[in-house]
Amino acid sequence: MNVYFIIALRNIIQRRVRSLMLAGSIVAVSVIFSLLLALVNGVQKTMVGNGTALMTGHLNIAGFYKISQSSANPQVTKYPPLIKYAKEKIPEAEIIVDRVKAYGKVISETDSTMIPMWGVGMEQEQNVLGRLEVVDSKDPNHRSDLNKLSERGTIALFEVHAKKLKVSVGDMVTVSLPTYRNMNNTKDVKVVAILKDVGMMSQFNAYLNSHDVRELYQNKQDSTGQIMIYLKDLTQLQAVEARMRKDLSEMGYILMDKEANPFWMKFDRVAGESWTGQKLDITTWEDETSFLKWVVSLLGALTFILTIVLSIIIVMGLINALWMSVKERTTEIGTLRAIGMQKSKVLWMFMLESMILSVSSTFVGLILAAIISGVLNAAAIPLENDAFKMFLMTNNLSFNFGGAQALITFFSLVIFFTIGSLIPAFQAAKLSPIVAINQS
Amino acid sequence: MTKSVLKILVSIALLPCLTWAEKEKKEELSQGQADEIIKLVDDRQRNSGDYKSLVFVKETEKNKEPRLFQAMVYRRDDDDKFMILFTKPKEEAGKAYLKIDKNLWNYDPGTGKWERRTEREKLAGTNSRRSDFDESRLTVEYTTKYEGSDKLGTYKVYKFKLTAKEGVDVAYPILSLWVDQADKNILKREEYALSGKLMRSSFYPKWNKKFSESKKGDVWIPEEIRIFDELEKGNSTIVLIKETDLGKLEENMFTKAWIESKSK
Repeated sequence: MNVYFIIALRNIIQRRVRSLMLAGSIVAVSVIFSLLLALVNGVQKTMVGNGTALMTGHLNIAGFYKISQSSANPQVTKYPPLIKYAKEKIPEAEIIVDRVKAYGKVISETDSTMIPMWGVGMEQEQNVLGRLEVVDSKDPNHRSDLNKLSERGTIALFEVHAKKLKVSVGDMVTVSLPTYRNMNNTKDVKVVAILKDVGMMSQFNAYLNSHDVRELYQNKQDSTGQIMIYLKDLTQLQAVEARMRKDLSEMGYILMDKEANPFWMKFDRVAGESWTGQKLDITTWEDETSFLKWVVSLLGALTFILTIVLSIIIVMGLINALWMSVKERTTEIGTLRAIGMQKSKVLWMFMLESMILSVSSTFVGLILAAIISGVLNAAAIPLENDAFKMFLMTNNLSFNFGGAQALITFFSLVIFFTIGSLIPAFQAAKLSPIVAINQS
Repeated sequence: MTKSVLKILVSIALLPCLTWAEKEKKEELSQGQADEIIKLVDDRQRNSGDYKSLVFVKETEKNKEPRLFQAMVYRRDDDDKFMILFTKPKEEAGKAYLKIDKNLWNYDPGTGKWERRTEREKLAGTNSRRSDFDESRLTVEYTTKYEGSDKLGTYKVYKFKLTAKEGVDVAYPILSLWVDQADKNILKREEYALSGKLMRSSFYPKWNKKFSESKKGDVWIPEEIRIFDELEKGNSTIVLIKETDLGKLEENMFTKAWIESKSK
């Protein structure tokens, strides 16, 4: 074993230019693959972080109230006992908040836009909505202040909407929406905060005072949109969800069947059902952000395709290099075979050469990728292109380089390159000792 | 003598004021009279039978190119059935709304799907609503308050404030109506949100009279409606109602199957 390793290593050193070029290529593929995986992980992490701040808890007690068979109002009536249940019976919960759902037109002096909105109580939101960054205002008298949402007649908008409506902090806008009985209602509200965009999700959110939303919809004070529960440990999600379903059913609540979609994708289904009254819908953050999964899936697919293409190119180079090595070392192989080396050992010798190259190069690539990720994260490179911002759901390039991902990269590349070396290795092993010696 | 002269002079001086007061008194309406006028407004537009018209809608949105729509509106007022089938532009052709009982359905030939919609929603993204093409139901849906006489251009009008009745679902809970004193047609209509904010102003400059066999009398149909969005200034809609026919329609028209066959 040791002998074969030394022979393989010596061969690599002897053909150092070719080996260095191959190693360099493997390092490059390893770095690219690792960085792309880190980017996909970063986007996924950002999605969880932003999604759970903007529109969903880790777990939600949501639902629909139907005043008629054809209606579908995304609200939970008589919610205080549900809050009490969540506080008393879910010790895994870290934060519990409730938000009122709204969908309407926000109209400024110059433009208008339809936005899904949330009515919030800022006293509960410090660790949730409070995590979002606000845009600094140049006017000292009109500073962005999310806490002012605790006052009636206020609204917080993301940059994307503020730009479209051409409004800044202190400006008035009108929120217009139909009540659940489809009567038009309006409210003039003051912009108190402009939030930094967080990619695509910024398009789907704006925040009002919860009392204003209830007033707009003519809802009672004991109705809300959803109770959002944030867990201390996300790994307990499924267990808590299952327990909540069981508990709430036992408490007499009627639960909707599980459907892994956000609430707004359930309107048609609910409106088409013949029941009236209240049904609860227990959802997770994954359900509520499932419409964004395609971004992560697409990025993952692109990473996979790019890595495969690059790897095939590298494997072709590796096969070629080993092939040349076989040709150059035909006499040596013949001699080794003549003095009793078995075919399998010749095969092993060449595979070992490829393995040494791929293991060492992939390892170096991983270290480089970790360093580059760290540097890029520290630099917090801002994304200038709006399309990229929207697609990657962040304002800065964010890489999440983890141990599991490093192991996946390491083993997949090493196995791929080692398998690639099988063809020339077999070719070498197949050589007849007489033919091989005679070729010299 | 001096007293008598003074009396006569004062009387002469007050005469125009008295005449004006008398005139004002004449224009003052009791609640019963106000209700009667609004009932008359409804009655004049009521057909009680079948209805068909060709409708043109011009939708103008601020900073956008105006959009033109053409549609056929069908009604069977006896059964409270309503149908609107868009014929132009090409991308809207075949789209339709159908009201059966209390449900309003929207058909998209692109997907071949029917979706239930709220009765009071805007039609095909325009600022017009189903109620703009339907029978007038002011008496059923609102309570009337007379707010005095007024002038709208050269027209002498009655001004009414209408408030939605308890439990009745309407898109706008408060209306202001300017009704022509001479022929009792609506000339202007303002629609307010629950908050009291003015949302739409509509003008009815032209009315058309048609004889209805089912009603055995005349039916007044607005030929042109100009709708102005008061929340988003600059947005407006012009509705032209042409070729109105109050004759009997096919029996099986108000069905999903009929619309699907016409949408192909």
